[in-house]
Order: sequence, then C-alpha cells, then structure tokens
Amino acid sequence: MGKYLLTRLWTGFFVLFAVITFTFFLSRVIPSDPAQRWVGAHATEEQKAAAVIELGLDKPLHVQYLGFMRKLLKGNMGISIVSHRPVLDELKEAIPNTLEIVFLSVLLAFFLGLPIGVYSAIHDNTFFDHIMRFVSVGVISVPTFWFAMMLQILIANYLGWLPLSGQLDTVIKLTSPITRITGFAMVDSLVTGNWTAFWNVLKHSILPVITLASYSFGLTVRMTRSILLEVLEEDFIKASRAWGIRERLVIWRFAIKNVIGAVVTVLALSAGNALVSTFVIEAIFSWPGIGNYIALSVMNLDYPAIVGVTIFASFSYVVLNFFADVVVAMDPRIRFAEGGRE
Amino acid sequence: MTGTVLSIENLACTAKTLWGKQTLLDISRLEIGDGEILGLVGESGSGKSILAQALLRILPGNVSKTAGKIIFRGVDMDTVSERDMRRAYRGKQMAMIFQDPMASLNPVFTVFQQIGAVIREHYRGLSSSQVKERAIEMLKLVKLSDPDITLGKYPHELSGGMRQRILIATALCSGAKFLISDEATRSLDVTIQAGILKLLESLRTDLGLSTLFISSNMALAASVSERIGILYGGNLVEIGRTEKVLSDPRHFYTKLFLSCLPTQESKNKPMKVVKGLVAVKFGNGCKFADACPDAGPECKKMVPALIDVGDGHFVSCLRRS
Amino acid sequence: MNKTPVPAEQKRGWTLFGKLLFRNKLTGAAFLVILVFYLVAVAAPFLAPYPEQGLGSVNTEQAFQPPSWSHPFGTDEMGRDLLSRVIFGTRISLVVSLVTVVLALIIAIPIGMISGYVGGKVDEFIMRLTDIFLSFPPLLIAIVIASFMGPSLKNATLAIVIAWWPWYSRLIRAQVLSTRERPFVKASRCIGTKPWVIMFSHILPNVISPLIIQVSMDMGSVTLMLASLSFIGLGAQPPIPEWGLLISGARSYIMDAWWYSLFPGLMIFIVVLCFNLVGDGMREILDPRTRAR
Repeated sequence: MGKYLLTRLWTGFFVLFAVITFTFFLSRVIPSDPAQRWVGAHATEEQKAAAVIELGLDKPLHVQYLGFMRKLLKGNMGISIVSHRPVLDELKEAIPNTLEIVFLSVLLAFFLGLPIGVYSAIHDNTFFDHIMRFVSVGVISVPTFWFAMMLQILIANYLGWLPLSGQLDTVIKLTSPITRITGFAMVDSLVTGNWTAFWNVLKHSILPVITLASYSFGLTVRMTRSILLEVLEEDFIKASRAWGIRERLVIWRFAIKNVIGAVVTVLALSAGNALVSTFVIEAIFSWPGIGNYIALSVMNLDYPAIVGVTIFASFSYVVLNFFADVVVAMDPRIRFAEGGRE
Repeated sequence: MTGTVLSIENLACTAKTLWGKQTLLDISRLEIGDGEILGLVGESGSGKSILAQALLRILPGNVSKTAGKIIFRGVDMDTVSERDMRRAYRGKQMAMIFQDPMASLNPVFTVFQQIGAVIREHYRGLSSSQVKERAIEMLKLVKLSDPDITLGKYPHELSGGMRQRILIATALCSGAKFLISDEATRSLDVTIQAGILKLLESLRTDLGLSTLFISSNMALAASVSERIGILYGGNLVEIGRTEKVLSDPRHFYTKLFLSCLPTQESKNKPMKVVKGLVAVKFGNGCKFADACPDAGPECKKMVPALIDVGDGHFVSCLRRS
Repeated sequence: MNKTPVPAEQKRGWTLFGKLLFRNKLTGAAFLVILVFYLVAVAAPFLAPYPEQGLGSVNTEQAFQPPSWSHPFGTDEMGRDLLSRVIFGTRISLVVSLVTVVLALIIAIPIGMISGYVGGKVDEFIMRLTDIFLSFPPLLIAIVIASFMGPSLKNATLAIVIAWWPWYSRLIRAQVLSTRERPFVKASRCIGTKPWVIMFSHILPNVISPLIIQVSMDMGSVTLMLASLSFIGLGAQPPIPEWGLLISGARSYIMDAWWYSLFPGLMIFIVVLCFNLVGDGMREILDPRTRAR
C-alpha cells in the first residue's frame, strides 16, 4: 500500500507543479499590462516605470519564474494588483467561507444520500426506490445556477423563509460582530457564544448549502444504490445469509464495507465539483468566499490573485484526489498485497 | 444409520424470465438418510444449484418454488416462517458451501471476523475469548494448521484449499449436521479436492454429518458418496447405490455420461460426446427424449415416474423397466 | 409442467432492443422526449411563433410581458418572445452537445487504443498527460480553457472537447488492456495478424459497449457544461438564444420577470434529465448482469 500511495503522492506533486508553472507562464504571456493597473489610471510615466521594476516585470521570464517559485515556497503569493494587499491574506479571508459551505454540503450529501441509497437498494423496485431513483437523477440533471435562482425566487422572495443573499445581516455585523479566531464564521460564533450571529449565518448558509449539496446528494444515492445492488448479488452475501446471520448485519456490516470505499471516492470527487460550482453560487448568493474573489480577480485581470487562487484550487484537488486514493488503498486486497498466493 | 434427514416430494421451481416462465427443477422424490453422503451429479444447467438454494430458501429473486414438499427431519419446511428459517435452520441445522471459496468469503473482513460473526449469531452472549476459542476449535476440526494465525488473515492471503476448509468450518460452526456442498471442489486442484473429500468422510464418521454432495464430476461424486443420483434438465433420472448405478446404469443418459469418462480401454480412441444441448425447450414428455437414441413414441408423451428396479435403485425411464 | 415452448437462443436485434428499452416505461418515455426535442431543433423556424425574434430581432414595446396566449413563455427585456428563443435554443443545446461528444471521441479513440495496445513509453506519456486532466473536474478545465480562448460558442465547444477526451481515453485504454489479454486476441497475434487489423476487428467491438453507455450518460453532462459556460459568459454570446445565456440575461430581472429565468432552465433540466434517464436505460440494457432482473 505504501508504494501505491507514494506513487499517487508523487503524481499529485507533479500535477500541482505542472499547473502552477503553466498558470504562471500563461499569466505573464497574456497582454494585460499589470504595471499600469498597479499604479492606476492617473499615474505618470515615472510611477509606472517604478512599478515595473518593483513588480519585477523588467526581468527575463525565467528569472521571474524562479523568483516566483522561491517566494511561493516561503509562502508568499505576491501582492494583489487591485487591492495592494498580500494575496495570501485575501485568500485567508475568503477560503474559510467557501470551505464552510462546501464542507456542510458534503456532510449533507453523505448523511442523507447514503442511507437513502442503501434503503433504495434493499427495497429495489418498490415505490420508494422508483421515487428516489427519479429524484436522484433529477437532482443531477438540474443546472446548479438555475436551481440556486429558483430557490431564491421561491423560498427567499416568494415565501420569505430564508434570506436572499449574503453571509450575515448588516444589522448583526454591527450589533454582534463575530470575533475572528479561525476565520470560519460558524465556528467562531459558536466558540464565542455568539448565538445571534451563529443562527444568522446558519440561516444565510442554508440555501447555498442545499444548492451545492444537491448534485453530490444525487450522485451519492445513485452510486450507493448501484454498488450495493451489485454487492448484494455476490456469493459472500449469499453465504452469510446461508450461515444464518441476521439480515440487518448482513447489510449494514458486511455489505456496506464493500460499498463505502467507492462512495467516499465519489464524495471526494463531487466535493471537487462543488468547489467549481461555488464559483457561480457564491456570486448568486453573494457569499464572500473564493468564488467571489476569483470573479473579481478575473474581471480586473489581477494576475497575482488569479495565480494564487489557481494554486489553492490545484492544491485542493490534489488533496482530494489523494484522499480518495487513500480510501481506495484501504481495501485489504491492496493493503496486504503479497504479490499473489493463488 | 437410521432416520431420514431430508425428504423431497414433487419439488418444482420455476423462473420468470424475459421469455416467459421456465421450469428449472422438477424432482418427484429424493431422500437423504442420517449420516449419509448422497451424491448428485449433473451438467451445468441441470438444476443442481437451484435444488441446493431451494432447500435453504435462498433462491434468486426471479426463481420460486412452485410445487412440492421439503421435509427436513420430519418438519414440513413450508410451515417454517422466514424468521425461523434464519434462526433455527440456516447455519444451525442446514449448512451450505458454494463453488468458489474465494467468492464466498467477504474480501474486506478477516477470517475471524466472519466465522466469529456466525458463532456470535448462533450462540448469543459469548465473550470475545470464548468466540475465539470456538473458532479455533472449528478450524482444527477441518484440519487447518496454525488456526491462530489463519484467523487474522484476509481471504486473498490464503490458498483455495484453506478457504474451502474455512468455509466448511464456518458452515458447521453452529452445530449443523446436514451439509450441502454445491460444487464445492470445482475450482480446486485435484490433490486439494481429494483432501476435502477425505475431510467430508471424516466428518461423517466423527460428527455423523449428512452431506448432499452436488457435482458435475461423476468420478468425484462417486468416490465419496454411498448413493448417487443423476440430474438431467431439472429431473432426477436415476438414483441408487453408487456401485449399482455405476456398474448397471439403466437410464440412457447415465450410460452416456459414464461412457464419456476416459478409461484405460478408451485410451487411444476419440472421446465420446453427449449430443445435444442440455434441453431448453421442453415438451410434455421425457426431457431426454430428443437426444435419446433409444426413445420411443411413448417417451415424448409422458413424463416417466421413478421406477424401482430393485435394491433401492430407481430409474425415470419408460424403456428400461 | 410448463407447456409453452421456450426459444433455445436469445433473439437479438432491434426487436429485443426495443422491448428492453421500453420495458422501463420511464426510459422509453425519456427516449421519445429526446426525439421530440431533436425534431423541434430541426423544425425550429416552423414551430416558433415569432421566428425572427427567436434569432434576435427586438420588439421593445413588448418587453417584460408575463406569459399569455400570444406569448406562452412571456417576453424578455428586449420584447422578444421567449418561447421562440427557447425553441431556437434547442438547436444549440442538442446539436452542439452531440458534436462535442463526437469530437471528443474522435480524439480519444485513437489515443486510447494506441495507448492501451502499444503500451510502453507511449502509454506512460499519455497516462501522465491524462492524469493531469483527470485530477480536475472537467468543468473547471473547460472554464480555464474557454477563458483563455475568448468567449464564443465555438471556443466553448472546443474547450469542453479538450476537457472531456481524457476521460474517454482512459475508459478505452482500460477496455483495450483487458481485451488484449483475452485468448482470442492472443491467438490472433500468434497467427501473425497485423496490429491495425487486430485493433479494428477484435478490440474495437469490445470497447464499444461500455463506450455507448458512457456516451449516453455524458450527453446530459455536456449539455449542462455548455449551459454553465454560457451562463458565466464564456460560451454563446448574445443574441444567440442558448439556454444558459438566457438565464444569465434573466438574472438581473430575476424578481420581476420570473418567467424569464424559469423556462430556459426548465428546458435544460428536462433535456438533461431525459439524456440521463436514457443513459441509465442503456446501462441496464447493455450490462448483462442487470438484464436478467
């Protein structure tokens, strides 16, 4: 198992490296005149010339690249052209918000999707099963952005049950602001006992989380159901029944273990998808996360910010993929592969 | 040995397929006595596995028992509820081992976890160490060396013969005295096969275990069974004491089957083959009628009943009585 | 005793296919719906009540009309009949998704087959390449590519093709690897059959089956990707009535003109749903294990 994981880790690093390099060169090659934007529209020629030197844009490309990589290894992702703040700081503010809703959506998808998928497989071809199959197919067929908009119209606007957008009502921001400890709004407000803020953030997060969770949920239900159906056909399940083991154990202990690996892998991959959807969903719900940040950066052609976000994104995917690989490797057949005894 | 363990009367099982209903099994009678090993031989598709699954009531979804009685130790199995089936019969009174030992063991659990689960299921309230003790006892019963180490291994780390022994141990660990072996030696090497057969024989003498030994290998079944039955197209065409059936086969199918086995005399001659597929289309009469060189007009009209040709030897054929 | 004669062999061919397809009524219905959509795409100019508006001509006095008899889907901010726009949008979503998948296959099949059959350094290289693509969600890759190529329907299509082909290559390669080891292929090599012949007549047919399943399931995803790209502005540009683009246009008026956001999205949903249902159905038909149920 170790060797397998090491290979996957190595591939991950390779991918990360390739993507970062690619993005760097792309951002330098595209004509966008970062120096101009750094100094603003009303700057003089000297200011601009000074900016060029300051940003290191006068050096040859490969020197810029080496400087970039060196700084990156120290944790410096450069300064945003637009805000003149370190990209790393801006990311540190935006990332936790995105992670909050993505994490919650994955939890929702798993804890709702798995049991439904299992129940569906056990009672397959019943009314419940047909309904759930239809629902899960439906849910992965919906365009996420449209679903978000429909939720806004229906639940926020028409029914008024939940807020339309944002993370925290301005009123609360003023009356009981959240002290920043971890950067995760919900965690911080909980830890400091700030219930008003906590509930408020929770209410605001419900619609984005539901929208994000929908695709993962559908995928989880489908995957669980189809794999469990296959597993239930296996001889070893027939054997455990023949040995007289209780059906509940047969399914929830012996069959499930064969399913979990694939389900978690699917979840990891759909978490990756959620990260992409977040780009649009944060815009629709005005949630202050990475999605919003990158939208603005792209609009302003803020290349250090773009590169910074790309690094974060690639890093996340490499981590997610590695996590999925670890789960796959937990299968005893891979873990204890002796090179074949039979 | 006294007493009939299993008695089957007019058992019929049909399957629902895309092309309509199909009868897979139709056995007029079959009996297994206490401490007896009955061999059941047939080609693929003859309905052997269906019989085994019907006995334990673990038929696949689209197959069901449509007629007949299964009487196990005097109890009509139709009167047994699913709950009692699981609690009192499966694993406890009737045990079964399947063809592919690798497929019968859950690949993501250790041997101990699997056999332990069965022990715990049938003997509630045992402590961990008691369960382990019993597991080791069972593994010793099936003549496995180093049971302690074996318990901690995963199925893929063990050889085929070991797996099959573990399966026998697991199947019997709750005290069943009736074992159905559904082609259990098919995927094993010849020498390992012999070991398993010897084990079954020793379990018979030591435990009084009755076995229904299902196989497509006539020679194998014959070497371990006292009585042997031949299945064709879901019907029992011949049954009797092994030596008698082998030396004096009465059904033409049995004759054909036996003649296909290579012997010293047939060494340099071309191998014989049974013509015709195992019948899929059925008419009203004997299933073998189309392929039988000895068939007469009455064979296609009536299904022959099992006719006694003396000394416990029965044949389902109109032309051989 | 069973009296009805049972066929000795399975009937193959279209009758069986049709029977299986419609065995699950849902799949059969979905298949018909897709056909209807394709017919609408072909006959758009004749079906749309206001064909010129479908293509882009404006009619500003009629702006923001809620659904009515003359405008069943209402009108948009330029007064264009939304139903006509949506009908013309059918052409884009359905045809472009088909083209995308076909192009991706055209690239992926040779690459996958060579990679699997030849093996060695070539295979290693291709694997590395596809690894990079496979580590990221295809939508992300498409967004990145489309943003560099400049926003247009054509570029969005190309972006999706580039993002998608590695998945097919992997699938094909895996199939090739398993088929290559099968006895009949080895036998063929032993008698000296040329590699190209082996690849086409032996390996390719075995690759087709899982590919069909995958493709039918992908049609839906590709349609969604196209709509998503257009929604964020990287795909079809106004006045092309691509559904995703329509929704993006509707966003500014979301609270006042609910019909504007509702109907195009509903269409996407229905089409993708039907594609997915048919894809599921294909999998049930072509997977021998589920056939018996």
